[in-house]
Amino acid sequence: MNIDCLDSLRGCGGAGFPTKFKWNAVRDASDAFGKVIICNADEGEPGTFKDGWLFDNHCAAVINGMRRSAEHVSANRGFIYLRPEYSAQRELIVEQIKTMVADGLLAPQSGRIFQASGFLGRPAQLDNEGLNLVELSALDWFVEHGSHDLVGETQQSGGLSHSEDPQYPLPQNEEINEGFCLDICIGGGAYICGEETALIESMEGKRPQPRHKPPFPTTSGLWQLPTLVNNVETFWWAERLLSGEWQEDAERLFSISGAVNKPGVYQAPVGTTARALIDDYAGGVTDNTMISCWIPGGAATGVLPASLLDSKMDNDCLREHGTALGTAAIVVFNDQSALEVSIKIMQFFAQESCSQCTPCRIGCAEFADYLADDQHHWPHNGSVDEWLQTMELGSICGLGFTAPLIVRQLRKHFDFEVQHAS
Amino acid sequence: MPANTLMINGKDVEVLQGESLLDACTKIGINIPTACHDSRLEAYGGCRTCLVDLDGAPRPVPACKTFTSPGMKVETSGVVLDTVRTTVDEMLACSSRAAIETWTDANRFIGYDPAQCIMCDRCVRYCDEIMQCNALEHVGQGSEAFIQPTQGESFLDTSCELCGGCVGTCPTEALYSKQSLEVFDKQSGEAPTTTRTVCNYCGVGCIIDIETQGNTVIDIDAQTGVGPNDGHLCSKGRFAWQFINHPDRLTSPLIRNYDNGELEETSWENALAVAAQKLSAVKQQYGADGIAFLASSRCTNEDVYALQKLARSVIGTNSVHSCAAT
Amino acid sequence: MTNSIAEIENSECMLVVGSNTTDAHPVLALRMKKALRNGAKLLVVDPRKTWLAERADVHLQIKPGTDIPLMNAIAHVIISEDLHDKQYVETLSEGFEEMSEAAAEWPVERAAEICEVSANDIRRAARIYAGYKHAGIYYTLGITEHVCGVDNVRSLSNLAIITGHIGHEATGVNPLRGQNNVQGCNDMGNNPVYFPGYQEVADAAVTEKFSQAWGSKLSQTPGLRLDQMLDGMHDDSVKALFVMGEDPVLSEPNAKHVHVGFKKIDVLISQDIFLNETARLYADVVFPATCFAEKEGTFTNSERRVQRVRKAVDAPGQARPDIQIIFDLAKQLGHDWGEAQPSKVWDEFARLSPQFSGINYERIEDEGIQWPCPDVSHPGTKILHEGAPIRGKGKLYPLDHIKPWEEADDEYPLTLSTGRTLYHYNSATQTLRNEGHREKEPECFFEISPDDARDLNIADKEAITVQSRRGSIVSWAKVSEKVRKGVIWMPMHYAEASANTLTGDGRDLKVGTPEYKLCAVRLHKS
Repeated sequence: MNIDCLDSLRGCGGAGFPTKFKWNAVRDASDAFGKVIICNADEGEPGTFKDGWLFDNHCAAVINGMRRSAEHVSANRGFIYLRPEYSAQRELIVEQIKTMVADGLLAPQSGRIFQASGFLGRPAQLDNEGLNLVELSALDWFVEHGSHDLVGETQQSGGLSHSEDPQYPLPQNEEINEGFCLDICIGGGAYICGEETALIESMEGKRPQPRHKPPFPTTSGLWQLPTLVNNVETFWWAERLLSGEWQEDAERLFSISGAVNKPGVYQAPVGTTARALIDDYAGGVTDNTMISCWIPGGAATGVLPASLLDSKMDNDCLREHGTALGTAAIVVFNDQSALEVSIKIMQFFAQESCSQCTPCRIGCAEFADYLADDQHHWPHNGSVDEWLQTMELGSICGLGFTAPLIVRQLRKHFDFEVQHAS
Repeated sequence: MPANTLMINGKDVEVLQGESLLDACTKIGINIPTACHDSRLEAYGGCRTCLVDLDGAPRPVPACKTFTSPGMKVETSGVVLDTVRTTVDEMLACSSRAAIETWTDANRFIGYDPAQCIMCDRCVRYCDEIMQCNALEHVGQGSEAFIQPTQGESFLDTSCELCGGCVGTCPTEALYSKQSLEVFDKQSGEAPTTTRTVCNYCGVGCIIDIETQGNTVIDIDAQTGVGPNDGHLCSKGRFAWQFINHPDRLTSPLIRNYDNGELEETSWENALAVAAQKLSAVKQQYGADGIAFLASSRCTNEDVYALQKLARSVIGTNSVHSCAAT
Repeated sequence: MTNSIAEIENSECMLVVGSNTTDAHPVLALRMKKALRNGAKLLVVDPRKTWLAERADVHLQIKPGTDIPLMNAIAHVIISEDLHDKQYVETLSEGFEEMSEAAAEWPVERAAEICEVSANDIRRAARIYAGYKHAGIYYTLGITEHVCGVDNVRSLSNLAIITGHIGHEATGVNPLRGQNNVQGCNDMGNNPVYFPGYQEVADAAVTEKFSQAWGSKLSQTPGLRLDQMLDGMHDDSVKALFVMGEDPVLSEPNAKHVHVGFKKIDVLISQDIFLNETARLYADVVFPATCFAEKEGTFTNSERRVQRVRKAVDAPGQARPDIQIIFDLAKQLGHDWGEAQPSKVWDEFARLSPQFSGINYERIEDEGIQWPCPDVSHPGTKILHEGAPIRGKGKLYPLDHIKPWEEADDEYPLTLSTGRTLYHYNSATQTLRNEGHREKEPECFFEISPDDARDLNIADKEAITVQSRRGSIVSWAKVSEKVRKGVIWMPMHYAEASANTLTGDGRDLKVGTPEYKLCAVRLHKS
């Protein structure tokens, strides 16, 4: 299959890895025991809700994108790893899969629902009924509840039980004789489950802790099989590009929320300014108030001042300001200071750290305290910079690498004075 | 297995395939600090105390979980690396925020102090990989994570076999022996002494280290890499030592008072004299084969050698046997 | 053991027979667990569904006492399907024809019927065992404590020889010793027909050698085995017994009968660390001895490794090291052996025993050495029969089924088996004195299958009385899937509910080992 038209496509889940490269890597991996396609629909990044929107509006296209990738890499099993709160989307996906099975596009046994494992000891949380996508992704909600609403009680290996009793664990070594078998796996209910290797661990029924890389999932993923993990939006764009429906460079779906008149998902070219996105797409700032600060690409990209609203929303430009496009989720604040928002993000990270590696486990919590402390008292011998550097260099996964960015952005853009302990 | 050549701190090192950078460093005498590493367990790479610089890697890599391949270039020290490692140590020493203070577990052997816990998961992994009991689990996230018996039940109700391997592998004192804590006299200031010997239960012959304070046994532990047990022990070997200092122990020779049928304390001289006289009398009346000797498979080789020699050369009978039936 | 403990983790296949390894030898079992984790095949022969049995590729849950038919059938499958190692059999064994003829008497279907297992499982087990190079056999008292104990062991060695599974890593026939120094106790000649180092009493030259060394004329009359001693106490041929660290009235079968014997003898001298039941009732003199932590010496483990025992604490009160007591008594009887120094005693033993001559305290200071070790430059022997069997050719034995001493019948319809639990040890004089272990398993119980429990209308944890022709015990029922229908199982650890109240007089026909592993009982609610 010629996939040259994917040249412009970079992964839309946050890290921005070139899609074509990844697809070819899985294609070229040895496949003695089969290969796997996983659609990462865990959508846990605060502020982001485009994946849920995609299933609501373009479910068939997403699945067709997965089918195309399966064909390209010769995979016969696929999973949509779905955020547990997305129960409405689950129904839509199941319906879509049924239709496609009937049309002979997917293997007959497709459409089953499995349960991935999560962390034990997470408190059971509020019923999410009545929350729409924007609210589900809102930062305050995340800080209070963690990334995911948990329903039911913990199971033997840390998974969650659901009213519909999905199967647990995922059966390994299944014989798939005809076509591409696509099933749904309900996520483990934690932010880190969106990290591709933690996601895989959780599908294997283990505690969702990220793996050390290398090896990368492209060579050794689910059950050590070569595994292609892409974001929902990535599959959608791939389908549009490969089917010829979209013939220009890929754009992005921006999730815009917070203090705007029309929060929602908007497709726009990469490089559109934040101000244009807010004013032209999202209906402007609520009550025409002043923007106090904003987030460019989900909580992990940190907070920027209103003065940078005219920056282009692309990686080159944002990198100059110390951040990245991330999940292209813009959150606008008019009633909270950058420090207040940063504290919430740091507390969220502290709460969501998987606790596997020391720098992230301890660092996030200590920095959350440090930011929240009125005096910004730093109680450690090592300096703030040394700690930030240790988290960036010494952590295992992206959560630990990028958490320091919250503090760095605060210092870079908001005159945040570092106070050393005496 | 084919050998790899790699370079550590500018020196060429030959290693076998499958060996980690940690193995390679150890081989050439470079000491890399570790906390979550136990050579009997699969590498974990969580504590980050063993980070080293690997040429071409975007960040320092954990030596324990990075496997050697030909041509690797490794530096085990450097300005940034040293800072990172020092900071990791400082992080490990941070006070606990665990959601619990201790276990409310009624078991008498294994206790937990989350304040000392560094979440290295050695205990959990030991229970899973070695014992295959899965009686421990890592609960919660972030700095509030802690370790608990599976499902939060008492160890007495889980699949736990009370082997105490979790205590043995714990690099801090987060998991501790409750029995030891009870008898160890901290106030006395007397340092414990270690004596290496062999376990006295089954026939595996585990090498154990008995910790004593004065004349009191305060703990039994085992060292990785030593003996047929490689540092492992079972519940009996590690914990069943209270009998040693037990008040039921015999402390004086006893002799039967035939008037009241009771056993009464006597002196060694008397006990030995009476025993010798009684044995001689039987030998005289019934011959040497009227006396039989039953040796114990619990005693030392030297003890039982002496016993059969007594039977054969002093009494003159070959009637000496033991319950050795296997 | 023909092989060593550390090798077990490199097994490709393990045949575990009559051994609840995870409970009785937990640390050795860790090597098996590791092998399992690495994908080794596991075959378990046990009437009980043990931890290993639950994870086995094939679990042959045989009727107790039917090991020989089973092993014969396995051997027959291996031979008839041409899976045996023909070269090994031809060059390094003898008796193949007689053995295979005897095995052929036990076609799989016949064995399946008497063992009460599936014929197909027997075939599968045979093919798996024969199919791997590193396939070892591990057994314990489930094999030996039968009237046919010796033949049971031979039935296992037959399998190892015909498949050539001997003499290289992770193979062989491996008894797992139940006590810390069973191996050493035998090595040291605590045996009526062997002097130290397995040198036969019947051999005049040997007797002469020891007479010279010990400076007294030694008897060449074979002595009595333990079972013969107990019988001798009844017929007045044994009038005095010296018991070192044993409690025969609890540990020997048919306890009632044993008590009668002890009442008849004139002299009982006991030496122990606690006042045991035998001493309390019958001893004339009791010597307070020392436990392992209070003395110097050596233990020899299952893999024939001689390891140093060191003193960590002083003995309580006037208690003396066992060796000191023996020396003192010898002196009292007119034989002054000098100072009771363990290293000198070892050296004397090693000098007189060629297979041990290379071992001394200095060499085993850091790490034990496995005998045979004929000289000080010898590294010790990890694997026996390497290259070829020690006796030249491996002997194959034609075997046939031997019925147990007592079988279940209408009057006593259940078969009782006994064993050890994880938390206690033998008569539990040590482990029951540990609070934590006592609390974990404080008292005796009987495992009974759900089927039998239903038939007898007995509920879990209900009080029951178990009766044999020799006595009865009141305890409680533990309804458990672990035991098969028709079999009940009890731990042997509890003095107040001593299994030997029930066990019978069955003994191995060749060496007299008691048949602890089965007797006929009946039970009812208390």
